Amino acid sequence: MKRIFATVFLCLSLTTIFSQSKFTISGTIKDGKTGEELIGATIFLRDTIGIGAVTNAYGFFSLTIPSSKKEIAVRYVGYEDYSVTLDSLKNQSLNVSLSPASKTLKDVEIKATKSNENITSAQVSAIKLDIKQLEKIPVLFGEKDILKTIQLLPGVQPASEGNAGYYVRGGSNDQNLILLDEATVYSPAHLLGFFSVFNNDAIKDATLYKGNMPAEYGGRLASVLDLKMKEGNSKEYVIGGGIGLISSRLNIEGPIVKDKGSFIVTGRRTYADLFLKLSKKDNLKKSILFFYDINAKANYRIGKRDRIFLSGYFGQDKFGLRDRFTIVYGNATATLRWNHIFSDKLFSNTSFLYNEFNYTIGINVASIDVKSQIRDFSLKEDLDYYLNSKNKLKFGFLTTFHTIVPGQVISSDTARIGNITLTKNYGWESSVYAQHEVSLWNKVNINYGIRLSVFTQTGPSKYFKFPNEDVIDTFNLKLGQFGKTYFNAEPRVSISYNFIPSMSFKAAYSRNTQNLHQLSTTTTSAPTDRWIMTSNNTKPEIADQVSAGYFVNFHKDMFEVSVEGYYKWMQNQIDYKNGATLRANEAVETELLYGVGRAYGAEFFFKKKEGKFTGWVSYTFSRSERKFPTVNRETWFASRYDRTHDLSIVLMYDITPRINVSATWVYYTGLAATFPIGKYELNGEIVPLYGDRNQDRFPAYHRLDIGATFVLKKRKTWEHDLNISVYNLYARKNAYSIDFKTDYDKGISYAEKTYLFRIVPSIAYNFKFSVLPAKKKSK
Amino acid sequence: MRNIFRTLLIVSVAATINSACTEKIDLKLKNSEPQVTIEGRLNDKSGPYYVAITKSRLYTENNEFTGIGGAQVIITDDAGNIDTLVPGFITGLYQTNFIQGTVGRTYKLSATVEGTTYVSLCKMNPPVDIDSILISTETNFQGELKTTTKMQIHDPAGVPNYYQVFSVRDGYHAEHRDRLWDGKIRLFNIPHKDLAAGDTLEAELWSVSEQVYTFFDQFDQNQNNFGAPAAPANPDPVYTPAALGYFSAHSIKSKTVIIP
Repeated sequence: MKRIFATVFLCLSLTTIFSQSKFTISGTIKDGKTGEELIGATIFLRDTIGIGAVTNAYGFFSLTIPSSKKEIAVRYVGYEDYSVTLDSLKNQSLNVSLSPASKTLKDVEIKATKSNENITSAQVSAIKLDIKQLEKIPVLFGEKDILKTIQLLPGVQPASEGNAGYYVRGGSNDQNLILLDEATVYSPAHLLGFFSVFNNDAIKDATLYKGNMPAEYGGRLASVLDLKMKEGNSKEYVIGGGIGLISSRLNIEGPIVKDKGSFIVTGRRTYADLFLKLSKKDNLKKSILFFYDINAKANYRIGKRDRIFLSGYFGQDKFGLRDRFTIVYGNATATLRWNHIFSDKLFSNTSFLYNEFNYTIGINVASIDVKSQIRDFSLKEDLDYYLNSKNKLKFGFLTTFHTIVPGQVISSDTARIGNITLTKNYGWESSVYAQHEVSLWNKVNINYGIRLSVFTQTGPSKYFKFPNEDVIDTFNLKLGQFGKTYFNAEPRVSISYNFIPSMSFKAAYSRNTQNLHQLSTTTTSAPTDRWIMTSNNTKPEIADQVSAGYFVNFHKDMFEVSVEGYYKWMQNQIDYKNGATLRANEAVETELLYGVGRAYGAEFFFKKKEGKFTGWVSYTFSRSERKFPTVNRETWFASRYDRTHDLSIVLMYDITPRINVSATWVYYTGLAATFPIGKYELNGEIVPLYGDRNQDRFPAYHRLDIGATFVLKKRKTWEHDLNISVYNLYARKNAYSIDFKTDYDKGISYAEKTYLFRIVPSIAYNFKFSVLPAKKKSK
Repeated sequence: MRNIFRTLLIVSVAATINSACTEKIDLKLKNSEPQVTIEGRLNDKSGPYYVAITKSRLYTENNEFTGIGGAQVIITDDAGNIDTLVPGFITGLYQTNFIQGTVGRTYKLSATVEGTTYVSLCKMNPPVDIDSILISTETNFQGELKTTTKMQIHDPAGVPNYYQVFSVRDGYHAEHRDRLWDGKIRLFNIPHKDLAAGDTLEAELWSVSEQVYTFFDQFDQNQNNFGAPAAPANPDPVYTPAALGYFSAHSIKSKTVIIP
């Protein structure tokens, strides 16, 4: 007994001695010019391989190192390296401002700013987007759009022509979670899908996880797009903006108190409706068609350990055809965050979140307004614990109260249908998670964790039970009374093995669940598509995904090549019965079918990251299938999200430091669709005869876009540029929809495609200038 | 709503950049074996009533549908009447001899076509009165002034009702169910081609069965003239074994107005 005690004590002492021989440095890494915190910057020991840290979403890092070391380096792509020799070997804070790499220095800097985070990180199936590069890619109407850019990446496909909606690895549009400063954005598209709701000027960082997300994310099956808004320049006041063919933008940012707090406000409005006013057609003249959005954010440091952030988004679309009817819809989000540094090893973030999406359809002739809304209140806590340079823990919780107002019909007396309110639904969704990132033998990185989620339907609301096909029973839940509750455990693990520093093999497994489901019967999503929650009838959707990939960088990380494969099993998928009525239907679940899905594919990616000539080629081969009772005699069929081949080529070339040109070419297999297999006569009409679902394909889609940016002037205090682009250069008439029609005079039937765009040229002017450097607050 | 959105989308794209367009397209279509279509209607007015039997064609063929002769068609009711239909004035059309549609009775149509007997049942629901027809002039989405007509009805409370609004001149129909407005006064748009002053409008209100309502509701969803739904399919068959078409036994109320 004594000996055991002695041994344990000895071990403990050794540990103590061991830990005494180490110290921790912690702090934040910022952009030296704007004061914006840098996410994902690396801090490492210059003379020891494998000891390093990466800054978190708030630019914070913590690194525990042996007490014999004091040569520290900081590195971030696009910035000059920073080196420091520590004065003392004790716990200390280190705050670094990196200088952006200047153009002339760039060629020299290539070697120094090498980055191989894509190789060493355990994370598989994730892409961090380069926001600056995005500016160069040609787009429709010259509107820079983050959601269009991610569609050029492997495993991500556009929902339809010019659409901000996207499908990830064979999942539907509603299986993508989009977070803007942690708040959910339910409907990410403006103008019936042509533009994303995200103003590029307001976005600082974007990361897309294609199904194998770490345990800190949850709630959707296919992907998470995590967008972080800019904090605003904390050094000087800057005004920027742009004037385009379709819209104009303006943004203002600056310090609240220099180096202590900053703000940013960005706004955008389209003016397509002004063109309508010029139209000769009377019905167009009196129409309304515009959207606007505003992003605003402010942050303030209170002492050394605390920081408060307040950010919000508000956007709205308005359409009206004459005085006949109007549709108004939009998102709003608000995020209040509190960063607290408990110690040099423990970082905390607490967030209060609110988000909503709503629409109102006004049918003026009938004096009817139809309103619908989905809104969430959430509380979120995340803790980062930096155990040592090899181990990092992250844990926290999220609890959300969901409300869905499926439809409220408000009518005046003349319509005589009275006011109808479909029962509101309430749900309470919570989850706790813990994950551990560990690095072993300098070669293996593992990130494993678990997310436990619980969803319960609650009141005050009426719910439906369907004991058999023809009977509908109801039951009521009062406020605070819980109905059917689902528990789910979602394990996540990803492993990378680095053969050599520039080559790795990665594998991952994840389970994801989803409790909010969007019902859409059209090929393209409409803002009025209805959302429903998990209930006693609708079970949580579940997906299990395995991924494996091989990643290699060569020529000093100038080139990046990867091959990834995945297989995904999906349960409790939703489809609709034949002729389903989804709107104004309280018992909408009677119209639904529940089935299973499977998706698999291989993704190939080749990228040149540095030099005058940059760009990438991305090719995906994939299948996405579903199986439902009563559809195609319960056999597997290609889903709407199936695109067998998907190829994107993106090329950018800097002719001079002031002029760059770019081109993108995309090709993908046409949408799976159901075409007639014959026709018959009914009531004197010629009617298409349909066979099994989705046995046919639209013609393949392909398109070439080109663009050029001319920097007109670039000075320290102001710069402006001109951007010219041409969408669909060879004017291919890609089918947006296909209709089957009959010419009764000629006695024939035929197929007719609708295409939206031929060749679309556009021009945009962008500017940016510093107003005045902030005065230091005198104390 | 889907239609409105698509119209809006195309109007807005067209207005903004003058580019949305349509074009005929050649597609490789799969070919189905010809399938039997049986259309049968019976009402509470006096007979004879007709049943039409045709076959489907390939989509790329012309639209010369020919009727199927030589079928045995029998309509019976739950009061013991059995009527074997006789060939009508064109091939594929069959007409009743004596059977009379009566509210509350259940009718059975059985048609033996090329050795297969297809059967469908339908109960005739009681009629609902048209209180009045309202005529007005309204501006449509294209900004043109059109004569629009509506019928006002008072939905019977406490029972599910299924309606088809029918305009006799044009043969147009529209379906409604009272799930959201049981027992209320209701205005139905009457679907018709353009009306001019002096035209006679004969509108009918048919009380149909739930199965017939569902058939036409699904039929219209798939017949969408503004854009194909995501998953078009034939309406659920009302015949056993499955055949295309419907069998509707319905009661009728009608009203005629002259457009001022």
